Amino acid sequence: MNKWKIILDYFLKFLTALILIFLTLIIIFKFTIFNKNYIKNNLKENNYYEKVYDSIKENMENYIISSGFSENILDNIYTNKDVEIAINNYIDIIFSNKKDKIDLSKIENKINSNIDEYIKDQEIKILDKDSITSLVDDLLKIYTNEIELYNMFDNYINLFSKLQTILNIALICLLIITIILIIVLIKLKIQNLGIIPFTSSLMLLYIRFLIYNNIDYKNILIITDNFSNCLVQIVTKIVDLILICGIILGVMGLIAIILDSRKKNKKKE
Amino acid sequence: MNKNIIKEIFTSVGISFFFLAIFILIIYGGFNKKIEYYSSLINTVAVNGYDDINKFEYDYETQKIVNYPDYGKKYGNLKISKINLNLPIYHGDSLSILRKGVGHYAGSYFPGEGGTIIFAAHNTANFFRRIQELEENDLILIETEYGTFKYKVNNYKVVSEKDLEAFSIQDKREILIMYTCYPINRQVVGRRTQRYVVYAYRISDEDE
Repeated sequence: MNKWKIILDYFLKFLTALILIFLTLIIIFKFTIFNKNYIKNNLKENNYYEKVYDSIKENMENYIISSGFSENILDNIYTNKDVEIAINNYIDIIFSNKKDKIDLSKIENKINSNIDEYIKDQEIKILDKDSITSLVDDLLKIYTNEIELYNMFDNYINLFSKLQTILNIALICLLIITIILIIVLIKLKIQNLGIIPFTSSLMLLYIRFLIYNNIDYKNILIITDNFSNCLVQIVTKIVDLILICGIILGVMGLIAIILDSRKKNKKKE
Repeated sequence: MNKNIIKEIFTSVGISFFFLAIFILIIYGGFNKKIEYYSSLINTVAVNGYDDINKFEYDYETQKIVNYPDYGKKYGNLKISKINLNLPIYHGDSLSILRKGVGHYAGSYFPGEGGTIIFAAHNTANFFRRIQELEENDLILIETEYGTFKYKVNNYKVVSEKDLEAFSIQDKREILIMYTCYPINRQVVGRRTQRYVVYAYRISDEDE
């Protein structure tokens, strides 16, 4: 075989293997962290909605202690379902890059109604209406902070949206390039294509090794425990998927290498 | 499987490992610093479980604590005999901590360190409702695993919640600041925008 053909052979195989790992990683991200329904299912599996409900309840009760009101003013101001809907709406806002805010009118009205009832029952004279308004605002802030994770994502919504777009464009481009490369490989009658998926497999396993050994993702603690647990689960799933794809590509590549070798050997015989 | 086939397989696998070596070289050559940077960024938010702190290490010479308790851990007791108060002290002053006892503001010094210590608690009957009864020279005791520290009240006042000067932290003298939401009166409802603050300075056993 001509020297340049050998170099081209190696180069095309290496390039295709590289493109294959990028394709794999993009597909993994598209079906996990950039998939709204995957995120919502993950939250459900981790009882995230219930935990946020409990956290809101606890924080509001803790807050109300010094206010002179009893905890009764917090009765029935929101339900588990309200929390789930609010969180899902917030996820939709992140994914759609809208500037919407969650609707607090129902909770606000309920708190005000409970406060009015309490004041009437206890025959309390209100000297400073502003202090009641401030209290209601603080309670609504507790609710919003737990749902919107203290506005952590507000600064990143644009970036997240851009990443989604980049990922979609990259996926299409890489698919086109892959098809072109496969056509070129077939036209040039390059043999032993099993090396491509086997090399991709080794690269993916190496990437997984790098992540596992350098990033302590299992102990991430950010904003709240509930959120961190879900995040750790998602990251662990991504790392596991990289491993699984690596193994599948490795097995496919090995089988293709063995079949190609046997075919070559038969031709020689 | 004959020798030629095995040879072919090994050659192909060898080529794959060769490609892997080039890939590793590209990563280390071109992206090593970025990998280190982003890894360390993520690792700053990775916390390796909390160890239970049962014993403090307090250096009596430098008057500094060597092993601080984890946030949320109980480390002592606050006792004020005049108002029949005996409460656990926790490191941190989050709302959930204040539900259990006295919260120690994490940015202030610890008892025995010679600086400002800031304690907060709710204004309810179980906690700081009666601190309004404290007067000058009343005694306060903080018992910790590394020692017992005594303080005498020397001032008390009502301040706005936004008055940061009332809670300024210094390291020249050991001062205990205890505060709670004001008005303490349960007949007044609504958001508390003031704080009732009690100041006490550390005394030795001879001064008591």
